[in-house]
Amino acid sequence: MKNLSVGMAKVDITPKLGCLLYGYPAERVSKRILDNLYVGAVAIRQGDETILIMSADICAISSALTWELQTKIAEATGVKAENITYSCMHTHSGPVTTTAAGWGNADNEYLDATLTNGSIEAAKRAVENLQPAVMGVGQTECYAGINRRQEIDGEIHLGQNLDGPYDPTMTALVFKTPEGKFIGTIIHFAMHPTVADGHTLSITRDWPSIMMNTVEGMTKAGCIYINGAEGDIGPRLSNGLSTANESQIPVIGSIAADSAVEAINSISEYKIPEIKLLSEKIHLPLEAPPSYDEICREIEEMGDPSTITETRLLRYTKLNKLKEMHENSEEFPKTMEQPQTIIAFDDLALVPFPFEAFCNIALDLRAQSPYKETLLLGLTGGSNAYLPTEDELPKGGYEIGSFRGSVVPGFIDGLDKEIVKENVKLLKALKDK
Amino acid sequence: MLDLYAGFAKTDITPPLGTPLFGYPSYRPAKRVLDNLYVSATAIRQNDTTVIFMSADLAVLDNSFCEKLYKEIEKETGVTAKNITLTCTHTHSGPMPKDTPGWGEADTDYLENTLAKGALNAAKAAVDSLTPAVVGIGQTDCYAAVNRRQFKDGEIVLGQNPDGPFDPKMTAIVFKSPEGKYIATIIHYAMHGTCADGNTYSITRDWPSIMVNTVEVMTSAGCMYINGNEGDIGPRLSNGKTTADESQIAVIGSIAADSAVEAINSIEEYNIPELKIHSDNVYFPICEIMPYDELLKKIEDMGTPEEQEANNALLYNRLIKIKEMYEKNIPFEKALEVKQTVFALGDLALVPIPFEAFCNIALDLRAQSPFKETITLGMANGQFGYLPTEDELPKGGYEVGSFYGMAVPGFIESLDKEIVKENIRLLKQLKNK
Repeated sequence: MKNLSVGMAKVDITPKLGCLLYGYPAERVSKRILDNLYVGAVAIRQGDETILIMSADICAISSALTWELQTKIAEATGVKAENITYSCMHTHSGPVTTTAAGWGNADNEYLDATLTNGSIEAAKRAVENLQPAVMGVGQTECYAGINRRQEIDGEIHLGQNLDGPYDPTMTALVFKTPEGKFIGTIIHFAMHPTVADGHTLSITRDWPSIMMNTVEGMTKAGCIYINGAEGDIGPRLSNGLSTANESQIPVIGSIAADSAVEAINSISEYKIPEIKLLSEKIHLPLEAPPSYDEICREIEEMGDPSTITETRLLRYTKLNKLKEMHENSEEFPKTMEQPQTIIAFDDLALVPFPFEAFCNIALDLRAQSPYKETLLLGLTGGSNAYLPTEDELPKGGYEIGSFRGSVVPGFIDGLDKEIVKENVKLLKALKDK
Repeated sequence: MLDLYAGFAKTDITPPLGTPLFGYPSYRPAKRVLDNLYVSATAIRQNDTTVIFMSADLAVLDNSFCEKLYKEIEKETGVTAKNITLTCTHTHSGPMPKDTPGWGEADTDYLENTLAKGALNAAKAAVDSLTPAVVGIGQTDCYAAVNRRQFKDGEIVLGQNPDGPFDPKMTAIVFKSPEGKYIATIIHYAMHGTCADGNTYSITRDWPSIMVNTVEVMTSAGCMYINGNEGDIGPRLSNGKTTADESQIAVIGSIAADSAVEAINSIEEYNIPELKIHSDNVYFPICEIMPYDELLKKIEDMGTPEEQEANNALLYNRLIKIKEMYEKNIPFEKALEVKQTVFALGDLALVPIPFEAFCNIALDLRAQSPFKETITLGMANGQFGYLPTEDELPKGGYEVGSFYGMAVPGFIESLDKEIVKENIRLLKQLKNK
């Protein structure tokens, strides 16, 4: 007979007041705390296999750092590094956790001390807390989010696009003791936590704060939030924009909280699912770099470097790196290797994506998956860049600029289809295991 | 040479979802949690004297509940009951803590199983964590609040009265280890926790949440908030009213948070002050009771119980209780005897007031006090209702109606002056100790 043990723990990782905030290009020194940041861990054991599903209330971290964290957590807990799924929930009002041209440099002291120690501690405690469990999965539709790629005067802006792709599915993975006491909850839903905008000087989890507090109040057990394919999804704010200010956090958070409660209450059966996982390395195809002359010409065309900002600055920085690689006769890699572990709980599959993927990628993955339900875990295993669908690339806009500027030498335009293809292959292999 | 010890602890007392919320007459079962509620305790010891200041994130408490709780804390910690003071932060978005006709009945299950246990645990943990300490006291002016008794169309309504009495003083009492590590902070400021209005279905500490969170992260230590004479003081909301909705919590909370940081940063010296306490009975004179026949006529004139709303429900209930006293031959006392303990930390005196007292009472007490600074602890050791200044009674309004309806059999109209007089007597005795 199958057995299941689950443990949950959360550790406070709120940075110090005065730390710089990440999420918008503006330099913002934190002045106050709306709500604390945490890293949460859910340890799940079946037979000899233990997995850790973790989520940190920060914007994003690199794939390299994520793997380093997973390795350290593995050393501390005995759980295999590839069995650890580490997500960032993507608040735009947390510390600077990654370096991006024009957006600031990663706060290494925070990453090395607070985040690393907090993550290890949460994982250790979650493993220590392992206890017999059953699991329920509930879903509901939540309309707190909306596609944010709005066309205005022939250009794509960050706003609201009511006709754009949007996945309202909110999923609750709930763990209880066999006696019915809640152990922990994972809520999955795709939406940018950008209710608080670039004028915000407060540290906050943004709208997920209200949702997690509510679930924790309801269940008297820990809750973590894992973002989905939020690349083109923002909050459905009453100002018609994709950002507002701190005062709107309760408004959007309350809608999400109500949906989370609904998703949990919709669970009609708790049982011990069969857990399967599969770890592979997938290869993400990279584009052939422009020639040296093309790079030089584009750099020159971009004009005075001191006037270059936002996604153009990302592009400018990338071009200069490529130029350097040409000058040093460095070899341009053809693919980027990415460790990938997919997990299935009976009919539900979890697929980590180290990107801010567009909504349609999650929908494609779900449609092609052999599993009844498949969730794309956004910003999980690191964050390489935005990942638009190929059909959105010609339209341009902020996310496209970021996709074109973030990775050296750059991904191919059809990366979305390649990733879906690779993961569907893994899902089929997992299903047949 | 003097020595001083301080310890701090707090316990989560968030009620379950579905709990009816207290603070407005409307029936509001809690649907979500914006932020958790706590009961906090700061223990202070000098030589053989230990005191515990406690604060619960609730609206008000009954005096008898506090008395019973203090006895239990005394039994568990050895700290004399009269040296314990429990205040309420006065959120209007917490559970029902006290029977209030027209507003609902006390949630006795919550009071016994969550609050009493939580308070006992916090008190024990605070005493257990007593450690050598120095104290710093800082003050600043904070304009997050405003007098809320607005004169409109010949009536006093709940709104904003920028010309009305208002005490902008915010006080930070900060405890550090002799090596400079923060142990705890008490923030004192007078303002209703009413940013969230009667349409709010969320549990929240209201604006103090942001302030306390900010101080806790700034100091990496616990913080508790103690309200002052907030009877006629509300948040200075941009809608010109005294309530708004959850969205304004961040706005008002941020102003208060900035002031709290300023108050702490203003502290120039940390030292070991002399801790002094003085306990005595004080007397709150009872009003003249109307003759039985007159009482019956008044009750009859008011109509049926079902017709009574808001303050009329309070008054109706009071008259019925007086009628019962007549019928059961319960004697009407001349004054209510109340056990009162006043405290001093060096030049700062702390005076518990078991009322929602008006601002001018705090200012009078401060002006007449023999101490350099005197602060009133609002809703401390329970709450007998609003306590307006006598000159405000003829003007009427919500607080005045409550004053006339809440206490049984009722107080004299000049109770404000009596309370100041009684406490000045105690403060003088304390000063001369």
